Amino acid sequence: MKKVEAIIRPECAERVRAALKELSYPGLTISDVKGHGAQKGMRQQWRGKEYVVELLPKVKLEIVAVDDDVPAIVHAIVKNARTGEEGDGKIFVLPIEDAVRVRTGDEGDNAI
Amino acid sequence: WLGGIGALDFAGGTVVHISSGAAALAAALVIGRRRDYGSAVLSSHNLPLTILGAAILWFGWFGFNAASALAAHGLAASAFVTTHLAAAAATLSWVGIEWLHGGKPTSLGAASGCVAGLVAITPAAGFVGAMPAVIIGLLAGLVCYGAVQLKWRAAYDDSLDVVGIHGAGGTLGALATGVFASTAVNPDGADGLLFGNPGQVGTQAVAVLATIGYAFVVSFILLKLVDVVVGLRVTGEEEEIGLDQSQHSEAAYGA
Repeated sequence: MKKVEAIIRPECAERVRAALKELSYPGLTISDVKGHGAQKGMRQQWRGKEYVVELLPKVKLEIVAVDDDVPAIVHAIVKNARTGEEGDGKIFVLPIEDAVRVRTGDEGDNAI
Repeated sequence: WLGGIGALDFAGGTVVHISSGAAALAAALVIGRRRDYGSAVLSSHNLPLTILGAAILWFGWFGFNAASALAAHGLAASAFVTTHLAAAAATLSWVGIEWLHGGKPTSLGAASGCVAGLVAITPAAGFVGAMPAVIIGLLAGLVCYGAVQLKWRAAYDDSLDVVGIHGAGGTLGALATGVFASTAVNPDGADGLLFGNPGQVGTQAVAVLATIGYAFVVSFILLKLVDVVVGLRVTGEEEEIGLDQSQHSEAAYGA
């Protein structure tokens, strides 16, 4: 079992979700986050004064899946979230020790 | 006293706006800048509410200006029209200069321009005609925008720009009344510079300076007095936590 944690641009979230629907994946959690990597920040204006916003809004996707499904999921995210500009985001793959389905109490790979 | 020397102020442009601008400057200087001035992100807290507020102001200002005619007749209608024209013109000119100077027009700029126009026309509303109202509005957008830029240079913390919009706008309006006032519009008023009475501008200037001087000095003294007696500003921790919690134990946006 692995977890795919992807931080991507908010405007790409819908496209990624549509692509993921074509694949087999058990479920998905999306949260609104703020942050930055190499992206320099946004310039904004307030009553004539410019200022820089460094923490930029992004979307975090979290998907826990069986090992075999992970490469396809990562590939789908990369393909649909890439714009070629700085700020496209990052994907991390983490190992998962265990998973439990709340409704039935199933554990392990059965829970996914 | 100001009425006695012949100063024209239809709806309180001098006594309300200039004095509030001067008092605000005194307050900004006495209280000081917020702790994270310079590093805080400047964005508006709630732009939709700001715009709604400006709309309510525009609507309510008709009561403020037009009703200063003290009856529902021709003069009130005239003041109504000048108020509306000035607000619209100032909105355009503020957005225009912001576009040229700042790079992009903003809705906050439009809201600020509208208020600047309303402020500037306040002393003039029942004394000037329609075209002068447009001119006053256009100038208000430019002058008040400039005043706000000066504020950034002077680095005092006036987050709602009372000094820049009300102080500068009121001053512009008071002096412009001295230029554009016409007894053809209001027989109970006086004529201004363009109608053969250059002295009116001088009278207006005296009114402006007297108001600024009085409001600033007295406010400064009173604020200092309060500071000495009970302390004006909250502590650093209280400021950090936020006044909602520290002063009222109240959460404005849910727990």
